[in-house]
Amino acid sequence: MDDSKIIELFFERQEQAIIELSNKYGSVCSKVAFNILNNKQDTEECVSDAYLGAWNTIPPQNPNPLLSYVCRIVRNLAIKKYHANTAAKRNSIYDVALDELENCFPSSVSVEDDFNVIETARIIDEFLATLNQKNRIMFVRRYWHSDSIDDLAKLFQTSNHNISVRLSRTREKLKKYLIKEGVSL
Amino acid sequence: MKKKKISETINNINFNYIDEATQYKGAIKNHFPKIWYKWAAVAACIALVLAIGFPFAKDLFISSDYKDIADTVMLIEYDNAYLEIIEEPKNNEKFGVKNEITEAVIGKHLVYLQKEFPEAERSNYIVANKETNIELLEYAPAPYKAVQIFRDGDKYYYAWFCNYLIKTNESLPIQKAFEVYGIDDASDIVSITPTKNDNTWITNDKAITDSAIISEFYNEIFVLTAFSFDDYHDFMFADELKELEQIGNNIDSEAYTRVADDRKDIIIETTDGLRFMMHYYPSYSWINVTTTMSYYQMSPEITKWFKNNIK
Repeated sequence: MDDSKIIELFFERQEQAIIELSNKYGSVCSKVAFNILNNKQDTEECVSDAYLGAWNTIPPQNPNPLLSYVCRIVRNLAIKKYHANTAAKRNSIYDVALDELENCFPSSVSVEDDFNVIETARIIDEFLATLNQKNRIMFVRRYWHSDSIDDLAKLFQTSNHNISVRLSRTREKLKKYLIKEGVSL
Repeated sequence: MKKKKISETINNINFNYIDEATQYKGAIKNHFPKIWYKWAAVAACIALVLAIGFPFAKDLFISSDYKDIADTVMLIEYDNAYLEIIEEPKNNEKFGVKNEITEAVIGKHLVYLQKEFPEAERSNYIVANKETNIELLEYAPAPYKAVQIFRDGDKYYYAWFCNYLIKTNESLPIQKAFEVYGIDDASDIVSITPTKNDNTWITNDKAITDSAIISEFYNEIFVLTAFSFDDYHDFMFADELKELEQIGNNIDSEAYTRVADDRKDIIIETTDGLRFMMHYYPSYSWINVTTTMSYYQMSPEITKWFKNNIK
């Protein structure tokens, strides 16, 4: 079913909207959540909550594209759940991806409070604009979607090694960019 | 604390970038048929960045884990070639055909088809030995191999020529590629346009439309010797890969990336409005045409042509 039809169902407050949303994007949503949570039960709960989130926000929202919108809800909920349960040993792809990214941010304990999430996100936006499309997508899929290296290798039809090397080069560039812009954490 | 802030930061990156990545349907549809599958590991890098245009292994084809986020393509195996069924209408214009399939463009019946794996929701199609409700028809405005019409019941799609099915130690002359698009001589080409090398088909320089320049291109490219993938690969990489292997480096690393970064693309448009892409590697003097799955070593004349006419 077309996204526009699914949104129409949401606007008409028909519960079929959730079924169609689940049929069409359920597996993608589950993947995003599972990459972060590494736990099937948590993933299911998170995706169900995300559907509810979509139900509560459409209308008034009329998201286009629908998939990115729902993925964003899923990711937000999954991260919330992840932080709520830090005692659990996760070992999720999200953990690994965050570990990778941590080294890009120059450390400066004294200025931690000065770290501005929104401003830094804007600087990362600028950095992403300097990348070619392939490297940019690879970066976002790794660090926003928390895709595994295996998944990325399949998606880009290349080897795991190639993905790792490309990501590593991009992180190195990001680190330099952040230093140049005076970002520290 | 640091990780949490990084996570929050990433969460706040521009929605357009998230959207771009979420909608991404995978690298260009490079599909490795079984006969080339042994090469997949070695050539994976090339397949990605050189965008050679090999067809997927059929086995991978129906069992993708990416169904929702990137539906796998459906291919038709017909007349010793692969055709790709174009389900995304916006791709049609890229190839030079109108989005809508009307009676006016539906040509004569070519062959009946059937699913290769009838139980699969998405499967390749092969020639059926009896009448079925699935068929391949000619594209009436330009009845060449380049584009045909695929009918499944009452649904019609364009089917675009991917490549001939040849082995990696075989090659085809460049004329075979031109034939596919109905090019018999230089006058059948209306333009040659440089494009970005990211498979977006976005032009990055003005189109060459001067008939004398096009004629020179055609005459020079027409006489180039064809090389198989195996020969090309040995020629380009064998020594270097051997060295890398000896010093313990992963063989799929630098050599492929270096060549891939050199790639430049041109789009050739025919008088019928059909378009196809050709890759060339100016620093290494090779041309690759996905239609024929073959490589052509550039002569001094064609090298000069590219130098003079494309920035």
